[in-house]
Amino acid sequence: MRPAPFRYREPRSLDEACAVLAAEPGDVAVLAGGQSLVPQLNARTRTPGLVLAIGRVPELGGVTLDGDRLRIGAAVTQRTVQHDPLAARVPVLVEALGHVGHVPTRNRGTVGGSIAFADPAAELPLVLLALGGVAVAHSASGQRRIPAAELFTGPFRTSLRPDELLTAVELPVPAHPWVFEQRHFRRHAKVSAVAGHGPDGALTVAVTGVGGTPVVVPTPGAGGAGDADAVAAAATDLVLPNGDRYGSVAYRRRLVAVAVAAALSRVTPDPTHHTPSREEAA
Amino acid sequence: MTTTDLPTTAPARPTGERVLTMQVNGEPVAALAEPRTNLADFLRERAGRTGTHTSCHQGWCGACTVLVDGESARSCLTLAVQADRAEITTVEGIEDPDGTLSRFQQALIDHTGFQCGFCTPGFVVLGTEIIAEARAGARFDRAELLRRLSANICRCTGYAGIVDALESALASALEDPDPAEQAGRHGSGEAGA
Repeated sequence: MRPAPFRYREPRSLDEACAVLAAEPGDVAVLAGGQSLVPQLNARTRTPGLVLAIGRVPELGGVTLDGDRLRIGAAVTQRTVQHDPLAARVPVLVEALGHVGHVPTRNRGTVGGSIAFADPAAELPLVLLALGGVAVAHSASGQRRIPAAELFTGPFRTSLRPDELLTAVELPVPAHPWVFEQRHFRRHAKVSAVAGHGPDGALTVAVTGVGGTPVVVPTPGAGGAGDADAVAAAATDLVLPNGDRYGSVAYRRRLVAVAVAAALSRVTPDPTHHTPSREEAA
Repeated sequence: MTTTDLPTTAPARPTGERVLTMQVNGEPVAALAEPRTNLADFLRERAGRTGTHTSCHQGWCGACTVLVDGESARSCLTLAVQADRAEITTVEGIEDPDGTLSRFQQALIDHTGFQCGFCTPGFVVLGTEIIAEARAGARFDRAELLRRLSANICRCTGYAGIVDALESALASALEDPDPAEQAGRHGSGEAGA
């Protein structure tokens, strides 16, 4: 199938992009790399009146480091971030990016686009949530900073307003090594886990592919090696009854437990230590 | 006519059609296209380059893979208007102008890397990008090649012949550097899912 007809705007400034969104909220689809939107346009599961292409808006480019915060412009491709020397300061992001689609889709797909799309199995929303990142949005009425914990409201749903444009995502540069683990059945029933220690040494574990959004796993008082089983069990309890033809609920629960256990086996509060993933070790 | 002769923003027509200009396999192409026209259809129907195959239109199969400014892309998931003023390489642009096949194309024949051939244009382009990265310094073991080639689907071969062909072409390319072959923008390999 091919897309239904739409009007097309390619603004050359952020102000122009926000003005378009303000004039036609609700009937606009924002196009960055197109790796999630164009399949929907092709299948006509989305038929917007207007496609707003942000790829040539100069304010949306660039990867920058501001103190201990990595800022990724909404139009920066996943592959560019994978090879960016500043992004290398957040190794868990680079590790997760290796699991996003394939090289041809990462060459065009953007980090911001994947986060705004909010696929409940996607890797990058999980990384943003686990690290406590921020989504920066602009509209004609100004800028809004949305903590990741308030961004993902459901499958393919975010708290971005129809007149708002995601312009950047910000990730704190972790002081300790964080890890990403993924388990799936031939790229279906995909379940991912991120784990790491915050500046205060507290352990954070988050998982996705379990329900409508990425979620932080409750880890009360966890930190000792003996707690890994309890954390994996807590993660297992987060799996909603969302089995499909690619994976039953019981299978997803098993994948979550394995992914969390693998992440916890690699994570350490020692900032100088890095345990390779099984992909790295292969 | 060259692509630089046209204004940077060609006026839109009432249908939404606009003039797009690209360098396709080194030759300038200028044609009208609606915004909804994807790059695969533009290349096949406007530029006459039917070597690029289309099948799923969802990004699953990779048969439509082309290089956009040296980087592989699903041309079914790229609107033609997004590729305005870009340099495109399709499977027709991989061989030498005199018709000599590239190392990888020849290796696909030598290693029986295709049967029905439907997916082959996409694999040729995908492998060409990998060889360009290897020339720029990246190194690939067989496991990494499997990860990279898993971007595209082949329903005939079971992939073994394709991987063998790429391994062979990579080894040959690194032994006998040919600067005429296209260099990619990203020089290092990476792990993929």
